[in-house]
Amino acid sequence: MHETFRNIWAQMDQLNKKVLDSLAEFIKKHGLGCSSDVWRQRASEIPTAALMLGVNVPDHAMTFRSLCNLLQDSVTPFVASVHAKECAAVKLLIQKVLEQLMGRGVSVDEEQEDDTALLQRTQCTISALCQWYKTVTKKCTQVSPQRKENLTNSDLPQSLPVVVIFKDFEAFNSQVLQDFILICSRYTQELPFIFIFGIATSPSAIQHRLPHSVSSLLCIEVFHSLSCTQHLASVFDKLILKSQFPFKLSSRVIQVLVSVFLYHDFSVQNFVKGLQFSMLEHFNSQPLSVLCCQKQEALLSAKTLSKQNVERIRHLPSFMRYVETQEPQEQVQLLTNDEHVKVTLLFHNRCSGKTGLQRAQKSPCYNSLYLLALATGCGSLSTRLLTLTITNLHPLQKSEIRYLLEKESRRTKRTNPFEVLRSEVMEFIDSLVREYLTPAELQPLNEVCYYSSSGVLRQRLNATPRTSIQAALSHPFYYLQNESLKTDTGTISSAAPDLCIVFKLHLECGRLINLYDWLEAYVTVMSAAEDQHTDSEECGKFDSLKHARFIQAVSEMEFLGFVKSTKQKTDHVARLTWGGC
Amino acid sequence: MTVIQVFHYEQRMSVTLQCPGYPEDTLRSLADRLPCRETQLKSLLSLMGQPDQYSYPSFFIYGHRATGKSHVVLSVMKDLELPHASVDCVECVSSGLLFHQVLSAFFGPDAAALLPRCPSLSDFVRLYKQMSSNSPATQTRYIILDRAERMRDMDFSLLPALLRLQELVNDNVTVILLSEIVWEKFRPNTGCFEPLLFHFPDYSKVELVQILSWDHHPSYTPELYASYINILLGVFFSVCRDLRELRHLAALNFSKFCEPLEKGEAKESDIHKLWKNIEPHLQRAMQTVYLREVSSVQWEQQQMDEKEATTLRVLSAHAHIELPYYSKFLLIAAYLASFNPARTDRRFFLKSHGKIRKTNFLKKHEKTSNHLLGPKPFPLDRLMAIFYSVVDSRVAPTASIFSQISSLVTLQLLSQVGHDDQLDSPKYKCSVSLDFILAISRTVGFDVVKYLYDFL
Repeated sequence: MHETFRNIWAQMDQLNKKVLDSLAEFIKKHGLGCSSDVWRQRASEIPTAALMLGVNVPDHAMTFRSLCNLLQDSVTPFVASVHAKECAAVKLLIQKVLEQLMGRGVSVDEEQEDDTALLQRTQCTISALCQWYKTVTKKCTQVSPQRKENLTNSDLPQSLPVVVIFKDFEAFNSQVLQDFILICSRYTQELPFIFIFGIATSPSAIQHRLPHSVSSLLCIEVFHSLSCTQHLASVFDKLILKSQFPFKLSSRVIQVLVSVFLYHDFSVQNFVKGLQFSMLEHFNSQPLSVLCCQKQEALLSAKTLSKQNVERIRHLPSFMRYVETQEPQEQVQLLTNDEHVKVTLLFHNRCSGKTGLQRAQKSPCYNSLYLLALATGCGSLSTRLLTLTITNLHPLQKSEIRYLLEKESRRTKRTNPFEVLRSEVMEFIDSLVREYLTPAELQPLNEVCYYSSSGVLRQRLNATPRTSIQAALSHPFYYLQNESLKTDTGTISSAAPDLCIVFKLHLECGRLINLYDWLEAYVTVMSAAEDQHTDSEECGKFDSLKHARFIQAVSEMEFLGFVKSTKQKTDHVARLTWGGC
Repeated sequence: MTVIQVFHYEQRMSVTLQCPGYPEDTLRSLADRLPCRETQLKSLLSLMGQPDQYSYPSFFIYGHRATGKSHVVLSVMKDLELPHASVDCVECVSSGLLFHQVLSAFFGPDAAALLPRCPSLSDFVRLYKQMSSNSPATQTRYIILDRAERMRDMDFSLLPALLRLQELVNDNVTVILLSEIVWEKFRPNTGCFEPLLFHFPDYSKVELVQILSWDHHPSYTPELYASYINILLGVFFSVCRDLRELRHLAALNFSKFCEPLEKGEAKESDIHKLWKNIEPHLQRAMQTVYLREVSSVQWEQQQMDEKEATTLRVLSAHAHIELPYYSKFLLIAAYLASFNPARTDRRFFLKSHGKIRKTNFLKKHEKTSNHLLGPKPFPLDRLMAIFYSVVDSRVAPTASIFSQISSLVTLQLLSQVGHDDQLDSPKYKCSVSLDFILAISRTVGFDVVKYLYDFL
């Protein structure tokens, strides 16, 4: 099961290949271009590739990794990639670049090792890199004969470019970048630098960060990677709508996943993680998922189904619905004879296999519809819709179309002929779909393949730390499940942990909380319970204990970020949450 | 034609440079290589005096970018074979690097290796003294510090000390500072030794023509190239006087200029026709390649195949950014919080706000346009409150909402103000323009102008 997933995921890496290849081409071209006549004239310009990657920065890591590998394999061994986090100053940036470049060179030939060990911080300059580069390239040209063949093409010795990748361009301090570019531009004659900027927003970010005097030292070309929506669409194509992939998601679950993607992060990685999670959850929670595998294996495991599992099948709502539609005699058979159930299972398995095949054919049209839902401007809508092979629609699409319809009707107030036509087409498709396709939920045994608990998924993926902390503190019973903690809303029980009592008391205060009043209130709550069995004779003794417990609770509150000490008033702490209301 | 006449006249004149102590023919070739800088060269040489004499301890040479400061100084040093150390201050992230470069230029890398790990100024002076006592200067040694304005960010004692280095090390050494800004911006509070100030004026248009005409194409006559330069300057002189930029542009566009000649459509004397051909092209260059909207390589490719001119997209054309749905609303909320006074939130985001008139509602200083004043910082709570009221559906305060705020900060669409204490209600500023936010709000169908106090 997992292997299938792996295989399919491996294909995903190929998606960005096209962009990366064009980038590598760019770098090769500039690497070779050094010898050309035109090039020398403006040698102080550093060729720069602005790689547009979309707003989700964590997703870029994989792209950069494969870019690095590609460059190292096919173009040049001299690749350094830097993160903004590591480079708060020019010094650090240069150090990082040098470490990566020279460290890599060391791994190629061992003799250099001593030199780099001696590399002091004071010598951490580009000119040191320059020296090192000269010695290394000299060796390279002596060692490798195939490079020498290349030399015959041009008069000057061909030099391998030094590629510096700035992974997150936006996050770099612009002063650091400017200085680094200025320094590098001084050495372009000796060191063929090439920069790659990983840009999350738009290419104009370069102009915002760098003044003209610096950007005039760059020779910038823009490269676009696949947009995240296209990326997601291909994930859909290759994972969800493949017949080889027996695990399916119900429309609700897909909605949850897609809405996380669209509304929150634009992260394909997170989407895949969500998918993986739902898979895990499905196989974990549904015992019948043993049947959710390739057809052959499913047939096998259906034959050897245990009695308990057959009983589980009988309890499936979809199976019960199916039984009800059968003849009375058949019903009795299905409910009593285990073997009969298995035979019907085999039959159904074959059916589901067939629908899976159909689904695979449909994937492109699903895809286009899906893309439509993503596209905010629906300019090419009608043309695309008309090209759909309408009768083949997947049940899932219904919800998508309805979603589209709702979205459209909500947004557009004015109607022009185009929009009228569009909504007509929509209605037509909608009616067709309703007529010809039964939703997956209605088919017997859909629970085996379809994961449908969207509530669980939403809860797991959309973490709400604030509400859960609040729930834990105001209703400790919710998490601790201790009977003595059950309380009515609004009252403060002394049995609750100190932290909960302190939290509830602090809710009644304003922005600044007087610590002494707070302590008083706390002691009152605590002693209210004790008054019942002991008289208040040992009040003073208890007080110091309560005092200590109170102080501990308050410091826990501070640790959780609900209060902090303030200089405005002594003996007061400031509330940090809910705006002090 | 007048320009060309001037050009010839000046060439014939060929200033006669005479300075005792320096070989005359080198001086002559030097003067030929540095057109339009004869007077500067002359006074520089006379300031330097004879090589074996002590020179003035420090010079300060200033002038705009690409006025030939470093070029003149460095070619003097190289041609006359004077001992010198040339250091670019941008490179010197620490003063140690500067000392290292100076010492290794004067006394070889072995001397520089004697410097301790984090050398102080006194280490440098001590080592310099020690070295110069072994090999005292027979000629004046020069330390040339390019982009000297960076020195102000280094150790505060460094600049005053370098200005009187001659006294400190007791050696015939002169420090030459090169900078684009004036000396007044350098002078430390505590006062220091005043260097000799020396100004390099901007090149005039005539001088630019003369210099640019130097690198004429071998297969065409110098006259043709000069007229090309004239046309080029006619377009670019009003926006750019940077010699380096102009040379770059001249080289880029010359092939286009020669196109009619190659095709045989025009003769070299047909200046007007050539002008008509090149002028729109240059105008386009000014809007694209000069601003680096299009890289020079792309520009050249475009010249090769004229048809693809329309497909070439400039940098700023991809201005729009795709953001997740809620990020867009967060950004809109941040913009509103940054540009509306906090007191007006009630009016915009409360359903029954009553009527509040703009004029008597606000204090006087709030009446000026907030867009002129720039974005103001706002606390996180306010951002979230506005966010919940602008977004059209119910949103749970999930972790991903909050992480979107921090990713907006990394994208530099928002910027965090003040200290990094995340607990203490962090404050943000919205750093996007009105146009940007208008485009964003259009995609989510939100009329942002209706909520902006400035446009009420």
